[in-house]
Amino acid sequence: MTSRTPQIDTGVGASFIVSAVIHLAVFLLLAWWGVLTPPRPVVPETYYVDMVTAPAPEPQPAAAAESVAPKPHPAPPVRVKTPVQVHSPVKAAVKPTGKPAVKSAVGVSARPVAKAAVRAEPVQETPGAAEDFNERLARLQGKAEAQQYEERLKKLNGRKKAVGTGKVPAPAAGSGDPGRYIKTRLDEALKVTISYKSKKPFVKVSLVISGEGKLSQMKIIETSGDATFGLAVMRAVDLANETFVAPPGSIGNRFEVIFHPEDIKK
Amino acid sequence: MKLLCLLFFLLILPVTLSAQSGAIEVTAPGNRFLKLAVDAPRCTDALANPATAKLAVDVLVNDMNMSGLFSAEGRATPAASREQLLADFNYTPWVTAGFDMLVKGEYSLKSGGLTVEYRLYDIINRKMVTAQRYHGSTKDIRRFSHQFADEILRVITGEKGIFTTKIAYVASHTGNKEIYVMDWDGGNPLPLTKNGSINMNPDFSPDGRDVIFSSYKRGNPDMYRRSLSNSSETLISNRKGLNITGNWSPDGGSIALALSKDGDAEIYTIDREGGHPVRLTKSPALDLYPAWSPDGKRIAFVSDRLGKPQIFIMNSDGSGVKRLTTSGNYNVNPRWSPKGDKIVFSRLSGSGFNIITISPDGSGESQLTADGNNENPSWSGDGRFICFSSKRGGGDGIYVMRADGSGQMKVSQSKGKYFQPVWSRR
Repeated sequence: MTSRTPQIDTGVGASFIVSAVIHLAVFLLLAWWGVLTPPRPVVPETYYVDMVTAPAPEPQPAAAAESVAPKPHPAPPVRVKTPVQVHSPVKAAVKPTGKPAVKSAVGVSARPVAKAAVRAEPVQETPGAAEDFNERLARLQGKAEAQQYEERLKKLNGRKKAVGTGKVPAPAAGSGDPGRYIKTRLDEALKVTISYKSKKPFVKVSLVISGEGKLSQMKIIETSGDATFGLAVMRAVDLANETFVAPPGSIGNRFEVIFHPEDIKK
Repeated sequence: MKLLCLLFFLLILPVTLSAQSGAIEVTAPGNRFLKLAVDAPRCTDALANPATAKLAVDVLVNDMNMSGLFSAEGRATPAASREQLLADFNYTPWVTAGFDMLVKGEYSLKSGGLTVEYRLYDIINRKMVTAQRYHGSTKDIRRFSHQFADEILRVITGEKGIFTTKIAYVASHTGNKEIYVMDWDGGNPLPLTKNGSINMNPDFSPDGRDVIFSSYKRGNPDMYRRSLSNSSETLISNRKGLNITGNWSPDGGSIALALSKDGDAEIYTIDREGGHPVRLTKSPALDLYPAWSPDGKRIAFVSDRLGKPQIFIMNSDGSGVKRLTTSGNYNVNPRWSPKGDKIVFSRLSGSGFNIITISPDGSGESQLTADGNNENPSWSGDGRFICFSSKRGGGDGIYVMRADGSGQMKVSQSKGKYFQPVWSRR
């Protein structure tokens, strides 16, 4: 003879109540977190600039700098006339501050110019030698950047000719998706190097792109065993690495990438 | 308990969702030949020999074009970079010319010796991929170029090329049928026999050091083994009747052949000295052309036991005979591919013989030739190529093609009749 403890079936009701309590707790926790955490400063929009494609909107002078400085800021120049594509001109144009406006006009490469402009602000208040010095410094910086930009553009143009491809498509305007950006570069590079021997070649790799936009680590995760395609992938990654541009503010991104010929899936 | 499960689920869900983010897919259309430029090697001393440099380029270009991976061409270094060193040259002209890869070289001729250094560069990524240096005499220049071609394929595909291998064949331009051996591309033809008789069915040993063949030089078609290194010749089978169509086993320990000592031709195996004969087939029909599978477990052969010559497969002890070919009325000359996935043979159809490949299970038949009369196919050691004899345009020659039938090229260089080619395995 065993005694049996009577059990009451609470049904779905109890579970529902518990679930509601948990959800409420989570909601309150989030709300509390939001109150405690101060609002973060507005992170500037990330624009990926394709140095190869053309054309770009004409650069606009920084509005804030203009208002403060009666004398036009020394133009940094050559670079300003060079066509550079900006992927989110509309968004950038509506921003009121001078810094993003310059950024939107000339892209990433113009960032130091904007800095130069900001630095030049006090120049208007301190006459004499300091002003000359700052102007000369700004000119020198501008010249050096222009020279670097020209060299880079020349290199990329040379590569493009050799590669025989046309424009390198960039990520969609304002997408700000580093994965898509990496894919675009790798797609273009694989077009140049593709060669394979087996029927269904594929290579899966893990890539780590550093904050400077350089490939810092590459690891093969899986391969179909087609050494010819494997070599083509290695060459494509090497080639793409030359044109990776650092996503602004990034510290290092890891990407898993599967390479395979078009229409031939793993 | 339910509460714990729920909490666990709530905690795990976001992690699971973030882990499901897919990998980036990178694709490109088509498959392309790599564009390879072969620059004429530069002489580093005063004894420049333009003919040597040209031969080196020609051999390398031909090998690379035949590989099926490259579109190669001999190119002179652009004048602007002529004076630059091998180690440090200007990539730009090659980049702008659209090349993927470049072979550059240097050679020196001193006291009859030849030293050649080849380097392969990746033009796109501007770096050296591989380099090799060879030392020998001036007549070795073809071999050195073939060796570097093998090295290039090793680097690109992970598998060494076969451009230093040989093809043995029968030629009748002397009025007799003698055995010859040549480079895969037809260079350096050398006679192996000069007995003024009928010699036929050569086959290389797996190590490439010996050739077996059948000869009527004593009146009966007996089988001989000829060393390639010291020209010694050994009679290994002079049994009554036919001693023909010998094929060396993959381990080199035995030879399968057709013997007719019992009346009709049957498949036997003998050891490399000709002893210990083992009869494998027992049928009143003709059984000929045995061909070992690369694992040595099976043998393909030709038999007319069903009325017409067809290809059969059996275990290497003679058991488990199965018919392989079911199409065509006349299928002969089977050879098993080095990887074991295909058997190549020749089929007589209305217009003549053609080369066909088929899987060992009888599926996937594919005709590789269409022009002329094509017989006696034989695989290269890596299975990338097939050599065969062909009668096209009025002459019998030795041809080479890729395993898919593309790139058919005549390699026998002089006039005359050439047949029964066989490719060395290494």
